[in-house]
Amino acid sequence: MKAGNAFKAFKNQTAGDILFDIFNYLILILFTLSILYPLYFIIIASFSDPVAINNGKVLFKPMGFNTLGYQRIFENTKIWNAYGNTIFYTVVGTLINVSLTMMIAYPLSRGNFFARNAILFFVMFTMYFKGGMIPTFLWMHQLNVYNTRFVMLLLPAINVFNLIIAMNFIRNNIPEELYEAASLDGYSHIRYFLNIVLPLSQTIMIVLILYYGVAHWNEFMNGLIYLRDEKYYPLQLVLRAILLQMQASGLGDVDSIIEQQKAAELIKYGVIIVSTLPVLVVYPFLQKHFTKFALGGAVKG
Amino acid sequence: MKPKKPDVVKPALITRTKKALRRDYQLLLLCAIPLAYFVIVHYIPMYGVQIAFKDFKASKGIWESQWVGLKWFRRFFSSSQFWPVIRNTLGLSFLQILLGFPVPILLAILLNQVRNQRFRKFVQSVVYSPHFISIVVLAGMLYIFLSPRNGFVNTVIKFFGGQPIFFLGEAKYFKITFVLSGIWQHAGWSAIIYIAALAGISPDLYEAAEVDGANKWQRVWHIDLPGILPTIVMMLILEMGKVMNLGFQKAYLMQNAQNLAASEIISTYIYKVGLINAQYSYSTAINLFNNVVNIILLVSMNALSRRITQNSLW
Amino acid sequence: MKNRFMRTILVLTAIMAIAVIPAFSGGKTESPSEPTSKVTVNKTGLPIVDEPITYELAANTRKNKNFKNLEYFQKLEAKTNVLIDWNMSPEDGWTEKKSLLFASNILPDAFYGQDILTDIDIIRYGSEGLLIPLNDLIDEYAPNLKAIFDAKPHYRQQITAPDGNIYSLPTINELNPTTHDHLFINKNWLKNLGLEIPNTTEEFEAVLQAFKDYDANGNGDPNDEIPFTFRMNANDPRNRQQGLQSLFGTFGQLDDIQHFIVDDSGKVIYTPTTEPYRDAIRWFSSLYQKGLIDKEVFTHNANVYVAKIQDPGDIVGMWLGWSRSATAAKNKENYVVMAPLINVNGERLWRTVEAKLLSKGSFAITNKAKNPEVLIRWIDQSYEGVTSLEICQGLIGRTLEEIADGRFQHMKLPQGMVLDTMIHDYSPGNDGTFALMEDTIKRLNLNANLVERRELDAFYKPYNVPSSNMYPNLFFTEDEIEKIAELQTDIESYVTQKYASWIVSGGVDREWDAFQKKLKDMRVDEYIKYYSDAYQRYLGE
Repeated sequence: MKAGNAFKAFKNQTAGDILFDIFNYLILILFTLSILYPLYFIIIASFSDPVAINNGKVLFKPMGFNTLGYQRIFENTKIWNAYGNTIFYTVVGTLINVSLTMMIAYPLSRGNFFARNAILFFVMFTMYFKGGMIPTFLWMHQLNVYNTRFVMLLLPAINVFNLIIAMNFIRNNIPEELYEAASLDGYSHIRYFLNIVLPLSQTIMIVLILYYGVAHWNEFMNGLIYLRDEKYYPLQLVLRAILLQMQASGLGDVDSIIEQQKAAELIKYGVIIVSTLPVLVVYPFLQKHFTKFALGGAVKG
Repeated sequence: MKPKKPDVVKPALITRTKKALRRDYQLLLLCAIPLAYFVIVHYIPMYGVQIAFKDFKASKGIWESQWVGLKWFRRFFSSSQFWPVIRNTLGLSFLQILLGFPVPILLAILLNQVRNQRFRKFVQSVVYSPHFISIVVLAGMLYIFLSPRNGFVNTVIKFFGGQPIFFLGEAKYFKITFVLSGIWQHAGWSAIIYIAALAGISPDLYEAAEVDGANKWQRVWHIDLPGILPTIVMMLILEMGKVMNLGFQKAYLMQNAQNLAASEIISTYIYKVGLINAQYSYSTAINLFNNVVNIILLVSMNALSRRITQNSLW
Repeated sequence: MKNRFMRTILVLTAIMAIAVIPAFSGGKTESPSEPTSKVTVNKTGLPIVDEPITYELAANTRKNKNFKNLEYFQKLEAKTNVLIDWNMSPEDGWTEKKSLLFASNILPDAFYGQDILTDIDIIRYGSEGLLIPLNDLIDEYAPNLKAIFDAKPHYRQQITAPDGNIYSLPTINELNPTTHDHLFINKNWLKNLGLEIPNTTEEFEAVLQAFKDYDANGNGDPNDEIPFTFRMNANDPRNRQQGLQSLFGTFGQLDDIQHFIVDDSGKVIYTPTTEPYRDAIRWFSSLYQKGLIDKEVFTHNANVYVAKIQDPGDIVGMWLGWSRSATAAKNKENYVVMAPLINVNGERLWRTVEAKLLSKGSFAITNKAKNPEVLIRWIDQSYEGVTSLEICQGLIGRTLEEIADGRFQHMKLPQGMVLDTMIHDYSPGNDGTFALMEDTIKRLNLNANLVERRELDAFYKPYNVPSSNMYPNLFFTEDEIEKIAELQTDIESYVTQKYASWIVSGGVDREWDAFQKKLKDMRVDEYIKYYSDAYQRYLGE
């Protein structure tokens, strides 16, 4: 900001504004620090000696620096394959998720859609009444999708919670006047959906990408139940197996046991870093799109 | 031939339906594949719900297993743990909503009012990250930071002259520890939807407000909050519909003999019973019970909000 | 309005109708049974079958291994001609997956692995016919296992279900110690303060008081010592080794994890209903109130517990645990093992854990398997003496080597390798099914870890109560399990809460009568009766 503009902006503030800003920055800074410290702790803990960690001695720097945790994680070649699988499930899965969700969110956002209440009920019913794992398990076998990559994409294809969020967003942010204007121009529903609703729904689609993407990234249970071949395993399954592997078994010699205890602790922290880092890297790019856009202009135009 | 009575209602219904179809058939088309998903993945297996009313035996399968009516529900209701776990579950959930629901909203609003883009982007990129910490590590960290002997938090308390507090060792501190750690972990992530909603508020409104001389407090009260009210209402209704589903893992890890009176919730109780006697029917029945309560809360909340704010899911 | 409502209903009904129809095609999935093809099974000798035959085995692994890659199984396959299609699962989540396999009736031919099935699985699915009885198959086709049972019939008795059938095969390890919990005391602190190892409750308290008040570890700070620590966290399975149960013997009667013991007349006792339990809690409570017990004993998890004992600052005076070297690591030389205190009857008592039978559910054959005798012969290979040693301690040539006189010892490992990892790179190890018996163990030169185990066992041997005083690891019937499940969670939760609350805040005498009354209201008499009846039945077999 140029000095002149800054001064002008400052001058335009009232006392109330300045108070607000102070209050605002204070709270945000405190909150951010309270988040940053534990995160920093996890990073340094993943390189520290577990005895020191558990005795509360690790505060601002690693104690007993070692990379044992990371070594154990990455020496397991299965992890690279699992990373690949999870990237696949996340990218393709999220694509499917967002498309299907928007496809049904738009009709449900229209209050005068004749089947709206029926379909909304139909869909929300599944949030509370589920057949459970046994019939689903049987059914997936019958459909021959057990132990395929497809089942990982099929099962979570639409999340009703996210669907409701999307439906509400469209309802509240895309005014009916736009539709009236468009239909006067000869737009059918589908054309309106594709050419007007979707572009204006960028923000909510980003939210959907985040929600669905993270769900895929963290997926564990479906992989455990429905996948048999290791080559399809997602990341979390492999990471948890590595962690479990390191719990001391009581067999072997004492040095083994001690080293394993050490590794097990470190892996717990290391795993968070390993599985979260990609998300942390991707998020800022998505965040850029939370921009305000001039809806007003579209209506007037 | 007898004169036929004019059938007024029926043709009207049919023509109305035909008219609606003609107008909205494309909407139905859009819904087709998503609805197919629900039918295939959710409705076809739904017959499994009957397990809650049967004595499920693997050798007989779902259809052939014997009906036992409300046996499992009766067993749960007559357990000496029933009221304690319901109280704990509801207590924790409502406390979570009471304290935890406003925080993401506040966060989003504050961030929205920050003029310095770099600070804002930085905070936004950091604040959601605890969401990704696994429960196991979170519980481990709680034990370390809250230890009465040398935990970081108690060191600070002692520094200010207080007595160390045994957070995880007393039932009375369990609820607040559980809820506050949950807020800390998830507030940033939950704020995302409100940040998105705030991004949808037209900048014209802000310009008009500045012209009118409104300060930031007034802008927040008159523009931001009303602007995201539909989102807030929607989220609150949905939260009420999840009240009985308090997750198992966190409570189980934070539980110990000293705080058990406050930390035993429905899901941990069911887990323990299941460890002894893995009885599908029992856990299915409890889940059904939970969901029925959830639905009641959801519908009530929806009706309430329709009356008060004219905003609701349906 | 009305029409809109009707339209909603119409649409809804239409969708529901379409959705519900396919549901009626659900039910048991049963593959059409093929006629049993004639397979020539060799009753003795190898290979087991002349033509290769494949079986699907479900297994889980704590060690993140795929059994098809293990040298042990590859060699076994070559020898026996039995090909195994391994259906591996991580141990984390196996419970869910296993119950789904049974519930949906999509079963493998067999289950393999230590603790692959729990007691309730065996009883329930055995009685439902999903697991087949193995009694005759063992007698006819499993000579190694049969020999073990003939020599030590109590193993056969332990794995036989109440209906007389054997539905699953065991993992036995006679290397496993008889004492799982040990009391260790800091000998440096005793020396620094000029004290002796305590033998009575008065001496015990005096020593702890000294640990608390003075600078026992010699670092100048008299306040950083933790006199006595242990760990009792019910949600953590390692609870069994680090808790107070054995020390309750100081008041004339031991306690156990589930609070069930057997007195000398053969009567099953539930300790929370007895006076010695009350006395013990009263005493420990007084110790806690005086600050002689670590405040976190009921809350800290295993890692924090171990970290305290391993703290380079040497801050723990007395603790309970499984292994001195594993728990204390670098601090292990500071500690010596301590004998139980002389109790009110002049005796020293300690718990005995009859745990040579590591697991009752380590191998089971389902009703899907054709020619189960092949599988029995296959698993019997694992029960041969040296083979069991190889499964448990690693393959010969990898971690074990043969030396003179038919003896074995652990090999020197390549730089940077740890024994536990090496074992599991080639053998199933802790994931596997085996029976390591004393006569094979006699041929093994024990390494330091195993030697320590034996030494600790020998130390406590004079104090171990006869195993007939400990409640055995027996099978309950399905009916008993269901009834127990109804009561146990509630009773145990209440007992656990009170246990901790009394020790931490006192009040055991004040609240004792109300406690007993509440237990009666929770039907504790019925609860005890189930355990008692099961025990009588077990004795009668």
